[in-house]
Amino acid sequence: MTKDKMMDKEKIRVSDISGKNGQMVELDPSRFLPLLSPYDTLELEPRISPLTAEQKIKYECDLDGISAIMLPRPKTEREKRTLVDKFLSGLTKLFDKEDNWTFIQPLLLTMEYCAKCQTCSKACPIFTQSGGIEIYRPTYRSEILRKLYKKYIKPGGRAISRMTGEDIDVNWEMIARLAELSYRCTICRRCAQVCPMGVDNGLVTHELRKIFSQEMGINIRQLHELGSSQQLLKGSSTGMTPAAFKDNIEFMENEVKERTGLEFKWPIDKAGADILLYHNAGEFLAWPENPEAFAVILDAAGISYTLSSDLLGYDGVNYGVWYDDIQMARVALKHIEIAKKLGVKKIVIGECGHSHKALAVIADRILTGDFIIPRESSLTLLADIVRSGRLNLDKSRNEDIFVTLHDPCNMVRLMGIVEPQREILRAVAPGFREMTPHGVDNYCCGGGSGFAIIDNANFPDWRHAVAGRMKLRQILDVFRDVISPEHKKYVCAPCSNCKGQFREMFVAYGIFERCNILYGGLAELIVNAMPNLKKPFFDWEWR
Amino acid sequence: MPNGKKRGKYGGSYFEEIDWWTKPSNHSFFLELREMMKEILLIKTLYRHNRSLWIFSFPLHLGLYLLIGFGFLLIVGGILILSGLSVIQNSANILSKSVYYLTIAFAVSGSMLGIIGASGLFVRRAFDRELRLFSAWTDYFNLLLLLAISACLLAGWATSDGSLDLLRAYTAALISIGQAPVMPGILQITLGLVSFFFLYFPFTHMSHFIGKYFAFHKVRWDDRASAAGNKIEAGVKEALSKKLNWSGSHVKAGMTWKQATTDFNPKAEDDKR
Repeated sequence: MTKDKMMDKEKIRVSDISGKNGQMVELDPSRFLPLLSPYDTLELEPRISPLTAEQKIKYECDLDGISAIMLPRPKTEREKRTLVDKFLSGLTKLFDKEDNWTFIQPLLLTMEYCAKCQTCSKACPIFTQSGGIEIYRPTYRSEILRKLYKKYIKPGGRAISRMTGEDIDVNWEMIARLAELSYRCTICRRCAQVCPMGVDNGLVTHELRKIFSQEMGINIRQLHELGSSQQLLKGSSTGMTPAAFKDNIEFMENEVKERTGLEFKWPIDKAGADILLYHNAGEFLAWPENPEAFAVILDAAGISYTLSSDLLGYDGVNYGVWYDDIQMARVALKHIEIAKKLGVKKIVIGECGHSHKALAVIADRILTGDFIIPRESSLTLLADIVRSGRLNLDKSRNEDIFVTLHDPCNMVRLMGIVEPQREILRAVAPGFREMTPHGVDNYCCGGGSGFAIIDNANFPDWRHAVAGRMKLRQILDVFRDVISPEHKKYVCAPCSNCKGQFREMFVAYGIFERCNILYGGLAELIVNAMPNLKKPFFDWEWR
Repeated sequence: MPNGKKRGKYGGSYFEEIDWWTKPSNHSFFLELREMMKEILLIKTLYRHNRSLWIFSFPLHLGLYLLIGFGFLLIVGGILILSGLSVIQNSANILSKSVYYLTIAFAVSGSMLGIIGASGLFVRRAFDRELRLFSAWTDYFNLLLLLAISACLLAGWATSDGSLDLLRAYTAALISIGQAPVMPGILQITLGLVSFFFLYFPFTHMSHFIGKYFAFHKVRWDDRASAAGNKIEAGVKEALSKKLNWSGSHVKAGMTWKQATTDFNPKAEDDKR
């Protein structure tokens, strides 16, 4: 591929994925869609660092110069051939109803019925905000899998593919690029929502990642080794052990007492409680004010609940939901087993979007018998508590903060949980204003599908500049009239991974310093509106 | 799942209800049917999200429905003829008269809309870079086929069979396996194209109406939860007994799903590594 073609988004074709001429696309930030004031000049935007010369030699990066996976380049042609064979073996299993009973039906529908109308492309924030870079188009990735499906899976595929002009060259270069390409989509599923056929390009991303992980053992260290595997081994994807968890709880109990004057013991391993509450363990470490707020609320409302100190019992994450059905199932079943052991009536999932997806939705199709324990969103529970009047709330305590709501994709679009969080915000935040669009039409924070915790090479730069671009645009837009730093502004994000993305992205752009915009959860705002607290529940400072 | 007036407006679901599993199901066959009708008749999702394509896709689909209706009316007309009734303009029989006029109305409007829709989509696909990049020759061929059928039918009506008596008589002959009338060239071409279409379309993307039903009902809308004793649970039990075949070292190929997920020993795996 010539440098001209590399730069010219007009000329990239699906077949170019198999090219042997090095990097396909050179990212040019001047072509990204512009942000809003005060970031309407390129100078204020963070740089996308190039990979070092050593990284380029060592790792596959011939898609767009970004490395999410840090996939080592094979050293010999024989190695490449072995990998190609493994990929094709995984492809076959992906389309086998015995091997892929989990998602075969929607996958086949997606393969067969795409009308190639590009309605999905118009909805994709990564594609549109990048200025229309072809490889980020939802159908670009799906069309590669579709061509592979038609050539290798459908009867007479090789001949028919050639006849219909749908052939694709399979080589290691294609596979390596496809592996990286499967980590250029946050699986927000706006594409699936707008598709007139019901085709799901977000699912294609998920299924591609499965070939790499489940067949080839290629996955992202933060998601697998340090993620789901670490969670299964040590109890949490953060590495936090049960003993460390208990220490954290003690620390947070003291912090709550210091801040609010309220003294209570967190219920841990309380058999027979009504609710087992699962937080994302990252909250205990990075944003303890969120689980603390939950504890204050549930205590004040007289809710019977417990946390668990069992391995996995204090960490509701399930990274497998992004890339590996087996890991997902292992973690989900452990979560349910703990609930069963405690004899709770229901599981409530804290402010974590992908936990909602994993436990409330996907896990529903691996549970049987007495493992079918009801799972509920904390947003629904909190709204019920606020509505019931069990809490004494004074929303004027939040009146000096302009608040907007970031809707986590897995809660709104996947699960249809749209109104409870709004009902709460209307009750506790007089300065609440909606982003456009919002609700089920929301835009992803840019940290979805594990992006928020992938910090390999220059991937975070890409995540801030491209994946999170639309969301940043929305935030700047919703606070446009109060953007100057004398106004306090809060992005309410009831999801740990979204908060992780905001934390990193706001640092990259200097958002707090320049615009005085903070991010945080929903529970904290509720507690901040409780008049019996002597001082604000959270400090207005960067965290 | 399409919900009622309240939640349906903003896309809410039963997950917004406290203790949702204790509440009656919100599934409504009527609401589902209503949404499907909007999709089928009005191509609602495309109207909402890609209006510039909808302005051609809608007439094409409406044209096809009218042509299907036209085909049905030809069959009804054929049956009437075989019953000894005349399907003519000034027939005394109300049914025959209605069939006469409706057949022409459906044929003419259907083929005109088909021409507008198919040619519009062809031009869009050929000249819009975004669509062109992802179109195979079969996509253009399918549109040209639909355009040809519509155009030939309209031309046949205009030049040779203004009352559609010939096509009606041909249909009657098909039903009774009798002697078909001699057809003018343009109608022979039309019939040939239609016959080819019926043989060809099941193998093409044009059969998407089948897939769309499943994609909407079984994937997009199906939010039924598993419960002890229900069909979903039974399906899950069977699935968990399947053997794992994936080769990733963490997968444990050879075990069943149930074994590999519940009997998995992370410590032993870590020690091995």
